Order: sequence, then C-alpha cells, then structure tokens
Amino acid sequence: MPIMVRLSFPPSQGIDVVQKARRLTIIGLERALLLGVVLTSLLSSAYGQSRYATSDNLSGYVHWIELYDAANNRIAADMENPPPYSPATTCGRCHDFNTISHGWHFNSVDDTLHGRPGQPWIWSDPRTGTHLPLSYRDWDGTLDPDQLGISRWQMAAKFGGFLPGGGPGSTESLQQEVAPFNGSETIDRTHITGALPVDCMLCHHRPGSGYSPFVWTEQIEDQNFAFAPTAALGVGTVSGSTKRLKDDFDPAAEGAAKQLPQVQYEGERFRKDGKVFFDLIRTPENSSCYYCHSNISSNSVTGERWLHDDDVHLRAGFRCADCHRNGLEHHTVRGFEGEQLPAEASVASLSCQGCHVGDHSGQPLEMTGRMGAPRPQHKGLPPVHFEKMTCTACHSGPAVSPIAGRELNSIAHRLGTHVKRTGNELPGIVAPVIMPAAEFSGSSDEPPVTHQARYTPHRLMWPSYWGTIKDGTVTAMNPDQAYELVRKDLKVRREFTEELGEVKLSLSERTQLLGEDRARAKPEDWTAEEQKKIADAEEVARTSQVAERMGLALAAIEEAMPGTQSIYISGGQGFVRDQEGIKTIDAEELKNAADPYAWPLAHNVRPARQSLGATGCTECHSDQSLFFNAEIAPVGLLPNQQTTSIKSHVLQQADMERLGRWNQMFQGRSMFKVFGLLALAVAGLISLVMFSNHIGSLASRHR
Amino acid sequence: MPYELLNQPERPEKMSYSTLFLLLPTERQLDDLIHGSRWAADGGVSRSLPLAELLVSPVLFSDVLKFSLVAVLVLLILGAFFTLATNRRHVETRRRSWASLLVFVGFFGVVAILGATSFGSILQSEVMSGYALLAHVTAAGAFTFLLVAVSAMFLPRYSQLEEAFRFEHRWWLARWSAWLLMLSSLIVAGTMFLSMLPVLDTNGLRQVLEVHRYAGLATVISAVLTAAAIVCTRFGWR
Repeated sequence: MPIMVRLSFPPSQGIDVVQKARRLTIIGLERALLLGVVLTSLLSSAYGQSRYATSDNLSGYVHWIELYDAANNRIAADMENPPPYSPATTCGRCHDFNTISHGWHFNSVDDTLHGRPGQPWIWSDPRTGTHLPLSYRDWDGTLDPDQLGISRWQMAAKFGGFLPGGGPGSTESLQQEVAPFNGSETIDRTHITGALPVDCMLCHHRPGSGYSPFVWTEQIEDQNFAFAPTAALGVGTVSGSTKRLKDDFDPAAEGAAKQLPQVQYEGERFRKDGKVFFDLIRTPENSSCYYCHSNISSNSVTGERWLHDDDVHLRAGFRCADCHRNGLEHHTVRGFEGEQLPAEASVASLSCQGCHVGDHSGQPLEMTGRMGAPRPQHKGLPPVHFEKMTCTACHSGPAVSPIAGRELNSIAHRLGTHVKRTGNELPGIVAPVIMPAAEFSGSSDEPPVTHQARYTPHRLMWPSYWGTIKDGTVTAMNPDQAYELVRKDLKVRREFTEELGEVKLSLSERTQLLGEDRARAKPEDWTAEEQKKIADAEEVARTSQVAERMGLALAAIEEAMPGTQSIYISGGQGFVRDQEGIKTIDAEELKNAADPYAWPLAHNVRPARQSLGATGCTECHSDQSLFFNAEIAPVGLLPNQQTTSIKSHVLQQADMERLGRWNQMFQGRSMFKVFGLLALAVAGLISLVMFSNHIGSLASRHR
Repeated sequence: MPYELLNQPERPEKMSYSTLFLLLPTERQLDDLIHGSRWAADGGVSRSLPLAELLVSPVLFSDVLKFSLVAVLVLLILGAFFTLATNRRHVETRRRSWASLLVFVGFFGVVAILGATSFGSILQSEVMSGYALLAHVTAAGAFTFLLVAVSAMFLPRYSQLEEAFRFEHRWWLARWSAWLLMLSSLIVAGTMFLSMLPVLDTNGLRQVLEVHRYAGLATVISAVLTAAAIVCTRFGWR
C-alpha cells in the first residue's frame, strides 16, 4: 500500500513574498504527491499483479519456498506438533491470493455471476434415492442449497473433494447463515473443521510430482479441510480424521488438540534453509482438469475404455488450458459463444466459432486461427444450419445413438475413488440430448437472442427427491430431513433401489410353490420352471413391499408436515400415497417439478469426418433420423419403475409434421440435382440460341 | 468495428466477387449494416461472432425489396395511364394452344408462389422459415422444369422476330421483359443448384444466396412487367 504523507504548513501572520512562493511550491508538491498516490492506487487496483514481483521468464520460476501455517508462522520440519501448511499464506506471499480465490472455480456462491447453465452439484443420498441438482447460480432447473436448508459447510464437505477449495467452504461463505428448513437444524461443523482452503497445487501441480488429488479428496471426506493441502502435496503425512469428532467437539478445550489430525512432515523434503521444493507449473496440465472434469461413457468402466478416442484438440497437442485460460483473476474462459468475463478481457477468439471462423479485424489476440485452427469449409452445407445449430451439435460429444447413453462424471459419480463400477451408477446422466440451448438465466452476460435457441448437445438428468405438495406446488425437502422422516419405514441402510426391492421368500412360501423337497434345494439347483415360479412370486412380493414401505414413508412425512401431501419424484414421475400404497402422477400434473435438468456439453470434439451429417443430408433429414428420434430413457429409482422413454423431438418441441414434409424433399434429391441441372442447361442453351437469333435479327434490321 | 463477417477472406481489403454484381454489398458493408450500431454498443469486447445473424439479416435487402415493389407499382400505374393515353390499334396475334397457355400460366403461378413465400416472409419476419420455406423449395423444383418449357415455347423465334420487326407490332416492353425474365430465371435457378452442390464453402454460399435473392427480385419484377405487357397486347392497348 503506498504511503500517504500529509504535508502541512504552519499558519503565520505577515508572510512575505518569498515565504508565499515557498508555500505555493510546497502546496504544488503536496498536490502532486497526492495525485501520485491516487494514480498509484488506481493502477494497483487495475493491475492487481503489480503489487507482486514476478519473474516473467518463460522458463517458469523454480519454487523453493518456505511453508507457512494459517497464522502466518513459518513451518520447520522438526517442529513439535507442526501445523499443516496453508496455501493462502505460503503462496499468498508472492501471489494475489485474494484475487485468485474469487475466480470462476471459487465463486459459485457469488450471487452476481451465473453464466450459461452448467453441470450442477448433484446432491446424492443413496439411502433415500435422492439426486438433486443444486446450484447457487441462477440456472433454471436447479435448486438453491440455501433455500433447501443445506448449509454451506455441508456443501463444502460433500463436494469439496472435487473443488480446488473455497467456494461454499470459503471463510466468507461459511459466515453466511442458512435458514433452517422446516424447523430442522442445519448441519455446520465449521467450528471443528475450519474453512475449506484453496489449494493452488490441485491445478498447478506437475503431473508425476507426487501431488495427489486423490489424497485431497480422501482428506476432505475425512473432513480434514485444513490438512488436505499438506497431505495431497506429499510434504507430510496426516493421521486422524475430523469426521470422527462429535458435533459438540470444542477444539479449544483442554486436550482437544490431541484428538485433531496430526501432521508429520517428511524431513528430507526440507532443505537446510527450511525451504521445500514445489514442483508446479503455470498452466495446468490436462490430467489436473480431468480430475474434476472427466466425463466418460458408462461402458468405459466395463472394459471398453480403450475403444474411445480423445478430443481432437487434445490429439493435436492442445491442453485444456489453451482455450480454457484465465488471467490472474482466474475467471477461466468457459468457451461458449457470447461469453463475457467480468474482467472484460476479449475471449471472442476462444470459442469454437471465434477460433475457427472469427475475424481478423481486432487485436492479434482476438484474431481467428489461433494456434493453427483451420477454417472449416462446410462445402454445400446451407448456411441456415449455422442459424439453427451450434458447432457442438454436429461436432461434439458422443455420436447420436438410437438410445442416449449413460455417462459418468468425476463429481457426480466420484470418479477417483477406488470402487468397482458397473456403469449404471446413479445419478443417471444421459447424453447426448440435442435440443435448443438452455436459456441464459439471470446472467450478466446475456447473449443475443439468436444464440439462445440453437440446437446444442446436452447432458441431462432427472431429479429424484422427496417433497411435499401444497396448493398444487411441489417443494423439495431437505435431504437430511427426508432421511430422518422416512428411514424407519423404508428400511434402507445403504442403497435405495436395491434394498427397497430386495425380497426373499420364506421357506413356507417356497414350499407352497415348489413342494417340500425342492423348497430346500439350492437356488442354482432349481429347474428353469422352478426358478420362474420363484421369480414371479418374488416380483409380486417386491411390488407389494415397495408399495407398503413407500406408503408408510410418505405417511410419515405427512404426519410431520400437516396440511401437505407428500411425494417422491423419480424418473419424471411422482408417487403419492393412496389406499393401496402408492400411485403414480405423471409429469404434466407436476408442473416442472419432475422435469429433467440439462446442461450443454462441448467435449469431446470429434473429427470432422465423424461429425453429424458427414455422410449426407439424410443423416438428419429423414423420418427416422437420430437427430430427431433418438430415445431418451428417464432413470427411475423405484424398483420396477416403468418410465416412459421420450424422443428427442419432444424435448426439441419440433414440428414433426412439418419436418416429415421437409424430409420428403430429400427423397431422390440426387436425381433431382441431375435432372434439374440438365433442365437448366437445356433452358440456358435454348435461351442462348434464341437470344443470338434476336440480336442477329436486330442487327439485320438496322442494316 | 470489432467484427467482420464469417469466413472473412484472408486479405480483408480484397474485393469480394459479390461486388461484381452492381447492387450487392461487400462483406464489410454488410457487416457494418448488420452489426455496426448494435455491436459497437457492447463495447466490442468479449463477444464471439454472431454467426446466425450474419446469414439471415436481410436489413439491406428488405429495404431494396420494399423500394422495388413500390417502384414497380408506381411504374405499372403510370404505364397504364401512358398506355391508355397512347392507345394503338389492336393487332391479331397467333393464338397459343391450351397446353402452352397452361405452361405459361403455371410458370407465372410458380413465380408468384416463389415471390410470395420468399419476399412475404422477409417482409413479415425477416427470415424464411417453416411452411413458407417448404413451399418455396417445392415450387422451386417446378420452376426449374417449367423454365425449359417456357424457353422452348415462348421465347421469340427468328421467324416470329422477322415478322414482328417487319410490321413493328412487337412492343419493346414485351420483348425485353421476356428476355430479362429468362435471364434472371436462369440465374435464380442456377444459384439454387450451385448451392446444392458440394462446391462452395460457407462464404461462397452466402454470396450465392445474395445473388439468388436479387436475381429472384429481378425475376418477379420482370414477370410482372411481362404479364403487364401481355395484358396490354391482348386487350389491344399496345
């Protein structure tokens, strides 16, 4: 901060001319100094980095640095009970940590930055079959965690393993009070865990350096927020888990420190002068991005991963950060058309269109063709397609298939934790679903109207949750509150669908079906006919069990919330209590409560020859084209839930009658071109001959 | 000006081939017209190219269209007064067969459909879409094949010309509007087929689209003039 000096001049009587002149000089000096101070302050705020020294060498700075704890005390390897290192104080000595920690990856709780709808935080509670799309940003179809009574701390604990810190877990966010939901207590253990620190190394570590994002996630799951950067960096080992401590644990109490996680630094990582080597890079590598941004098709986890290709840009040697770049303020470019950054930096050339078909009129960094981007020819493709579709509609994501496939992604499915996966893990996310782009909602970067409704490939999920209906409006319940109310009747301990539908016939029931001798036989020894009898009986029992338990669970909610009707929503349908257990309510009656939430996808970009329409017009302009007729199957969570698949044209709200007529135009199109060109040639020839005659006639007349 | 049109040529100052056609604006001119004020208001920062708008914004063309339609209307009215005032003797011309009349009427009907679906849409909503576009494309096919028939049946042949010039019965408007109709029709159909072939890139297709609609306008105007000339001739006013 520049030092402001106030120059004063003593008042005096009878000042002579020399004194007057001196005083004027000093006043001028004072004003100049004040102006300098103001200018310096303005420049400092405009160029935040100017406060910090930089190396500016393209080779990058070698980070042998000292570690500091959260209280800004230097850490030595041989300290007794050493604290974990704090990125805020360690990195913040040379970098503008405050500016950085409000960038796109950290500002999800910021009420002013919404942007194009994106992937929500999906709150999954497998015990109650809950998968709620949440976002603090104003994205239609998502729910605000604050309004659901989910505390900022809960969000940090749930999703912090796939966040580079901050966000809902930042100190300022945690100070935000979240109103209790329907009288239920909000869960907040901030007094034990502290804030979720921003860990610069999660993105800026060099792959292979020993930094482990997996360890980061494990530490966050253990609620060891403050210890996660140290453990993930590998500079020390952390033992203990904050998660085991009770909610009323007082870290300041006598002897409490011993119950908190302990750090043991690796002595050999410290140089004699106490400095530690941070093997970091300025531009994050793809693997760092992938940790939180992996999207894989479900069959990738069942052995077919080797069949899938990378994004063409990555194959060409790009890094994610080449397009999704940012300045010091870390407002990472998302890359969609019409994007505006708060910093007002030009990002026009960092979208598909801006880079491949942009202009040459702006500054060099705004020009098209950056990094060798080729200009697409699209020969013979009517330009109206660019009016109706985004680049990604044809070029991005999985190729359209008869049934939109299931996808898994890092955050929703916690890819990175070591478990055996089947590919059908919940929440059920399907892709690609090509439909008009989700509208910008309350965004500060409102795009032109023409950008809003173009066909864009999406990922899509159906929410599932417990809620109440009052005056015809469905309100989602706080997931923890729902669990408390329904757990006794559901009798589910871990996995909703599996356990709710789990039935086992008693010996007497099996005896009744198979006879006394066969009832005691092992299931694998049963004949096919016997197995069918058992399966049929189990099916009946399952249906009855689901209806009974769900009915009781719904009744429990209604008892706790008088004056409301309880409902469970799943797979685009609602289930309410009736005399026989439960009955289904279709989506139309639920207004938007059961509607899927969709967000645009842009990767992987496929090669041009694998783009949609590469084989010709009829790939889309035919009655059975997958563009309009791909099936999208809602993922229902109730055992045996019969969901209704919908065709993509329903979501597109396309006029299929008109499309059908339009498609007829493409029947025999090749022949039409041939005969049409022939007809045109004949007409042209006749005209030419006639016109020659005409001119000849005129000439002869004048002669 | 922060933006230029999609697929701007590598050398921005190079004359695009649309400038060969007298009334067509250059890409830069179009860009200025379409985006000048609106995008300048954004401060010209952080926006990617509005690809969709470039292709369909008929700001200039719709103005030309309105002016042309008014001008033709005025000309027809003035022409009617002039024709009636300078009424000439009626000359019997050779009657056509019903089949050739059907072709001729069909051709004019198709031109009317094409004009209504295209210019009607542009005047109404500035874009062609929906059933109007569908009808336009359907009629375009018929237009191409009728063009052959019209060229073979109705263009003045040498013998007729000789006769016509000898007796000076052929009105200049009838002759030259027919030739203009044929020329513009060939261009309008030619640009349509050219755009259906995998020959031109997006930029080329846009240029061809410009040519197509101006040629279409010329076709409609010349068809109106031809029809007027025919009416005048038939009723013996010329």
